[in-house]
Amino acid sequence: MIEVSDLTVNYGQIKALDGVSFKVPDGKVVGFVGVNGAGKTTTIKVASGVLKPTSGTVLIDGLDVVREKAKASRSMGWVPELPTYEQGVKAMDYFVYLAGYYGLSGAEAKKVGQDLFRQLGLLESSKKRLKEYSQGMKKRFALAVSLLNDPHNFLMDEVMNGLDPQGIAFFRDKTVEFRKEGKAVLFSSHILSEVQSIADEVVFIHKGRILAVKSMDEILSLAQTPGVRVTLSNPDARVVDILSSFGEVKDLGKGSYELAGPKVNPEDLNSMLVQQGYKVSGIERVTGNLESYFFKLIGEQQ
Amino acid sequence: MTNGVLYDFKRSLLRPSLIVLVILFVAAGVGIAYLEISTMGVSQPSYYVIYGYAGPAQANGTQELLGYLFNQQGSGLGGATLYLQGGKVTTNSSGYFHWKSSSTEPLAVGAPVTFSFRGTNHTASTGFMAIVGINLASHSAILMVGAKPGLSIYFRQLKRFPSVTGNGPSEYAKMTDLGVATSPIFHHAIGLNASLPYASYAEVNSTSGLVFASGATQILQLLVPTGYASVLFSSATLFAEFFPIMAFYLVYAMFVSPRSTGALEFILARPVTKRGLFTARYLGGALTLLVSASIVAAALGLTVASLLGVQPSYWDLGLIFIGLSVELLAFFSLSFLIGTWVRGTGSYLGISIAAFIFFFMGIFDLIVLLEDLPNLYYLDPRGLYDMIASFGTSSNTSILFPYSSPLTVSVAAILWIVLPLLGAMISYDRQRTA
Repeated sequence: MIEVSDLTVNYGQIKALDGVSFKVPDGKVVGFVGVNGAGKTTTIKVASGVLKPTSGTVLIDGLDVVREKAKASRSMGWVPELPTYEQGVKAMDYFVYLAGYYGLSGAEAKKVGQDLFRQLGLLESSKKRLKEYSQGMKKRFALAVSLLNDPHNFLMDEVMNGLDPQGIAFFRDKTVEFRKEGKAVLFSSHILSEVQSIADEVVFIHKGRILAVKSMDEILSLAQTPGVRVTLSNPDARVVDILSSFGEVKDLGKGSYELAGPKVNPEDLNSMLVQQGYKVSGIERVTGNLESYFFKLIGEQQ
Repeated sequence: MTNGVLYDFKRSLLRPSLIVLVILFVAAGVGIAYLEISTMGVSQPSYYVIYGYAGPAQANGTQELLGYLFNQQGSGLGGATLYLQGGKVTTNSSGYFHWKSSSTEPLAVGAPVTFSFRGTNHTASTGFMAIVGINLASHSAILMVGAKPGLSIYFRQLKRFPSVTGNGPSEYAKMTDLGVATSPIFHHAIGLNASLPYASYAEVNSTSGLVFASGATQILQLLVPTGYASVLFSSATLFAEFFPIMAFYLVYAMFVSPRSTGALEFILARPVTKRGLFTARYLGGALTLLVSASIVAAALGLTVASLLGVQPSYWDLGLIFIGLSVELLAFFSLSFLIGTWVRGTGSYLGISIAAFIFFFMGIFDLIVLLEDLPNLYYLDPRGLYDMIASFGTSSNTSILFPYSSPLTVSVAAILWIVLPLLGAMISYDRQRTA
């Protein structure tokens, strides 16, 4: 379990994190969402042990990552958004080096490395230099290193960014697999549809503060505002007034309008608009999702 | 952490740029040693006259002898006019001259002779024996002996100047027979053992075994047993001047660069503390520098041994190793301290180069001299090496700066290693980021 407790990080006068607290229970994938600069990566760096907080701490399976850094790091895997490695090193050599910090001898590390490289599709590239690796391969390498100790907790920081569909699917499957194995996974991503598809809970962070911690079911029910989106090829000034009689109207531009809580179903709305002389080029029911909830939440903060 | 240290050591030692640096430094050191050895012959007299046997003294007291005027390389000086016993004689085109003296005064063999050559007056050393054309690098020389034709010439090198009584048959029996003299000026190429500073010769009648004449000389001042130290320390000083470049390059490659790119973060996410990571990096690099210093000391020892034929003492080589190691580690610690203070690679390089110029290119020494602070002369990061070198060479600066004691200098050297290291470690540990 990962327990983020009252975490504050100041960079000079700037408060990057301000009393951030949340938990990632075992066997759960917790999505971690927020706009750029919200504090996601800072939180994850503290949890991974590479950044010291100004105050507060993160407990990894009960071990304080600040006071018991070396022990706590044994239970944590971390795949950064843009993994950076030392220049000119060969993948397997570097893996063996890093495995040394887990107490593995060179021979043991090579054996484990070959196994993990095979599992993660890196075996053929094990003798390549890391600077020759693609972004996806670098992330797989980070995962391989993180799996060295088969830790109980994982930090996935924007792992989907810059990956091809195959890469995205790989990390999605791995995350689901970790959940099945009872591991705690903190999954940060800008791709909210991915978060929605795999997270059990979501932590919303904005300007260094936690806005909300909700289960996915809760989020979807809160975001479930019935609505209809209609697109007209001949909109005019009257149409907003006409649509207002069915509910709250939002002008999306280019002839598109969204009605929240309409009193009629899309079929009735379509008939009425046609009768009024409008050419309806598209009409659909709109359902709520993580994205709409996220923007609603962020919008309230602006 | 042991694995981390060993890996960092292996990776830094096998870094191609570092290997090239070490090879370049060793090649430059060997070259300087070679140059120094090759030019040492110039400390010999510039000109010689060897007197050769040209017949017994006449009943009327007159003397007759053959002489040969030549330079350091053994080449005769033709057309030179020598002034002997108030008279003068001119050499033939090969440098030989025939001297007939009407004086009853014996010729003072060994006394310098004035001669005029191409309008300029010079002085030549005189004697019955000379060793010229000395090439310490190839261990070769030419023995010139004023001989009686028909006698066998024997030669030997010795550790000490031979006693007069030791020139009998038992002595020449130990000598090398160079052959029979066919002219009054015998010359023969000899192999030179640079560890034996004295040479003797004997002219022996092979039939009777009687020694007709014998003599001895000191070959060169250089060849006294401590002479090689001058070559050794002169070459090692090149390393002392520029070797610290390796230290600040290593800190750049092992710490500053990966830190600035964020590569240390990924390592720090492993089960290791910041202090542990720092220590592993420091020890790995320090081991590399110690190995480099030992390679340099060994290469210099081998160079001197092969060029001079003298095996340098382990004590001298050990002192060079210690001196170089201490200054490398001192600058290594200092570079780490700079590396923890500044974040960007450009700032690090700028400040490190400034520190290098200050301590290693003479600015610190200049300030010490200008401010008349001789006690501080050996207290900079390379002070211990300077003191060791000054004791190891004849052209020592310890004569100018005798005030610092070896103990004080050693303590200062250790502090130059330890204090910046502790400062760097504490500073890095306190910083929030990797």
